[in-house]
Amino acid sequence: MTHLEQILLLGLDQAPSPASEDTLGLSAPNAPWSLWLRVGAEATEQLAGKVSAPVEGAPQAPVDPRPVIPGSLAAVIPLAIQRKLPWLLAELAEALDKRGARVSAGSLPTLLNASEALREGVRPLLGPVGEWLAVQNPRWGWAVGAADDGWVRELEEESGAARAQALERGRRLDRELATEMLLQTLAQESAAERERLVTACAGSLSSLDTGWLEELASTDRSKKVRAQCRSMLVLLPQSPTAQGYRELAETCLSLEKQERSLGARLMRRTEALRLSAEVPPEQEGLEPEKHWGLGPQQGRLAALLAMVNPRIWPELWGVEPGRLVLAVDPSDDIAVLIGWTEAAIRFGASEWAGPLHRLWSERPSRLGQALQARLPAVMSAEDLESRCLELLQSHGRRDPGDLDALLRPLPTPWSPRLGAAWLARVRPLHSIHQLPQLLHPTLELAARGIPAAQLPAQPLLPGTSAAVVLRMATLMEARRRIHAFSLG
Amino acid sequence: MELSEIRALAPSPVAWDRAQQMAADTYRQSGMGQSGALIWGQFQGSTPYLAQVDQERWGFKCTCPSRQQPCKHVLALLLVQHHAPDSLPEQPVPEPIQQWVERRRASAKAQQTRAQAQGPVDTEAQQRRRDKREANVDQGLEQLQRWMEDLAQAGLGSLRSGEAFEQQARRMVDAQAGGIASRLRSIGDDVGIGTHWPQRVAQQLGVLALLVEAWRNQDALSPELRASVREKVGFRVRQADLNTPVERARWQILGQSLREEDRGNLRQSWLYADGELRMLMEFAPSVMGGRFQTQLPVGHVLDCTLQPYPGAVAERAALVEEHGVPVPMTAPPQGLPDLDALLELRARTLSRDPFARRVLAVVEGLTPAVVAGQALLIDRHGQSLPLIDLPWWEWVALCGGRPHTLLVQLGADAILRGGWVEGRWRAGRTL
Repeated sequence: MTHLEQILLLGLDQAPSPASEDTLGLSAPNAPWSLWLRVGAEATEQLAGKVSAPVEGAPQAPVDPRPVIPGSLAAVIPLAIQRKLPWLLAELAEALDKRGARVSAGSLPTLLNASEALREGVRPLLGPVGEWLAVQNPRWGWAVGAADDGWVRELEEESGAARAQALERGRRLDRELATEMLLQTLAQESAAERERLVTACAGSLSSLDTGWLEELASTDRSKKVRAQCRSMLVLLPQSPTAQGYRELAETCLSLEKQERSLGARLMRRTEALRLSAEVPPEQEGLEPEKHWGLGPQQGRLAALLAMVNPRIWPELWGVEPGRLVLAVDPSDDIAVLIGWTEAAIRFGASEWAGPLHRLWSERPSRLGQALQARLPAVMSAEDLESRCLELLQSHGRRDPGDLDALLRPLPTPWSPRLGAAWLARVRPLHSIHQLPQLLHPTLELAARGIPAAQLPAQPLLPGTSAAVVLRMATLMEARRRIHAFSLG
Repeated sequence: MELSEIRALAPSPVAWDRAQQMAADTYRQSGMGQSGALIWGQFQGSTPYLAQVDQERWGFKCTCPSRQQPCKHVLALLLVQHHAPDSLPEQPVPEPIQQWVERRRASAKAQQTRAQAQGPVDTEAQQRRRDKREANVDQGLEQLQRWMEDLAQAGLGSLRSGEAFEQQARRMVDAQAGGIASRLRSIGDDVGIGTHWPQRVAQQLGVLALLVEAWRNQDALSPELRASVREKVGFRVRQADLNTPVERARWQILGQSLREEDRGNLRQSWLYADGELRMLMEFAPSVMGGRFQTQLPVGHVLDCTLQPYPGAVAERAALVEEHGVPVPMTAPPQGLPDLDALLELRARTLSRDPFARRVLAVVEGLTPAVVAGQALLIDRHGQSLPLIDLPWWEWVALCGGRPHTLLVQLGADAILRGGWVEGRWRAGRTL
């Protein structure tokens, strides 16, 4: 900034020293206008006299001889980035790899700026030129495996959700340092912040966390923090908390061979579950959830079973989960089924999730629906597919959320059998108004799930221009283009 | 039409992508047809839209509300014709399209008749109007000077936003000094942006003060500079009054911007031939549908005659006559050899017109690169200028650290406006 520009910034009212005034003539009556004119002349002179500067040579990108993909396929990139669809990028990358093609260099900054959730899909599309570019911009360091040490600063300086995310990231990158930093300051944090930070460790638990979690579970001032620690400790089978719950649970339940009575045969029950002891009321952490609608004793039992890995029961009794579910008399011991369901979800026990999903779907109630809706996330692909096929082939009234909840966690692309079953229901229809409620929420899922070879050449629901149908059509078209390109 | 010609018509990459998709989505198409040079078809969006193209007296229309011209439906129609001509069966022209064709013919004829039938001009009345307007401008600029003097007293640090500039701009519009008004708005947009805004604002206001003085002393200026000063204050010369020599050449269309104004759409196109850049400014009033009659697709060459507006630096020009249709560029344009030549051009431009805010030129052998965190334009001799504007990464990626022929706008720093990359001309951000 020149001296005259500085005077203009401050203003003549706060004029500089009298000596400067004399030199610059700022005391003259026309000084303000004269100042503008002089600044204008100075600026023009600066502009006209500007010179270029010598510089070391620019870094050159490696030559990538692969052909650039056609424009119609390149349009998939902004679609995937805008709608945050990493799977579509992955499909595109696979096709490019197959055909030995690359994206245009002009698309690389867009790809490198993609949000974190898309990066796995982006990486295979970058190629050598993308990596060359990424090296030059610190924000794109992720693409070339540069060490992400920003989490240390964020963990020290940020607060709330950002700090918890930094801890989560830090534990993935340098678990020891991140945990040490957490424990150094944890005692001074508010209860809500302690709970948030402890929860942030849940995704990266290992037996190394047992010590500090056990200590917090028994000494922290906040009941919520203690409960959070316990819910994490039960996932560590060797922890004293997990073992304590397991021992207590084993004393509460026993399995008997069922008498071959007519009732038992009708119910397909070969075993019967018995409650052998009560859960002591003073046991902290076994408070039942209100929405279970259970009494105190039954509630404590459900809470206890929810804290125990359900895989111990087949090991203990030598009976498969499907038969154990049938061994429970739902009218008397629904607490057991609730506890097992919560445990199956917590411990990701897919062998339990399938039978329990079937059980709750056959027992329509608000609680049953709520529990059933959470189970697909831990069900095996086989169970999910078989339940989806049943729903697609049934023509009765179903809850519209059922199929959607089952399709969502199913790996894509779906099996040809499932793809064909879905298409068989939708292809004959002309408009979305003819579409059964059950299928409404599945249109976009199907656009992603139907195997590429089965994607229909003719549009589905051609008589509808509803946004959801157009979104489905766009995705299907994008996948068809990728598929066509990959086939050459 | 060739695919590349249709591609070049697309106003944006998004419009092109959507058009391609729409052309592929045959289920959204209905009522397609053609008759002679006319093609038409209906595309299903949230409601059906009828797109039509007259390929004889080039023009198009669509019933969709898009401001982008041509819209995706028109592009899709051209794509359908290119890829699947059989989808457009020969048939009688539907009534609404026939009416549109007739209206276009009538409008062209009326224009011709008006041009022929204009009577003698009342020069005295014209002079009276001119004198009155000049008096208005004098008054407005007096008032502007007082405001700038007050600002110099209080200091630029007293500005909290660009609001004061907007108020002054409105006063300049009232004083019929539209050019000054738009300068003030542009300066006001800079207030508070970045750490160096006081310097930028001071310099631009300083140049504005020089322009005001030049206006007051226009009798002492050369006729060319006087024309430039009057144009920058807001006095527009009508195309019909131009008497500069016409320039016929194969003009390369290197850049374009489309802006929505209060009463229509404003389009600026940059045409280049024999080392000279000309800017065509066209206005399409909303009452006429906001559509431009001439197609100037970027990356194409058009054999046409231009006529420059008077001024110290020939920049703005009017399109006098087209001698063909635009065809895609097949080779990069020839430009200045290096950055020093560009700086010299700028110095020469400023010596002729000190109020020129930017120069635009094609320069060969330039490499956009990021060196030590700073975006630079580097020429073949290793000389550099700072590059601003964020899309520089796109240019760095496209050029891959190798020299290319680029269109550079030079103000305080350089901005890339286009370039010959991956075998075709690619337009940068709007000008």
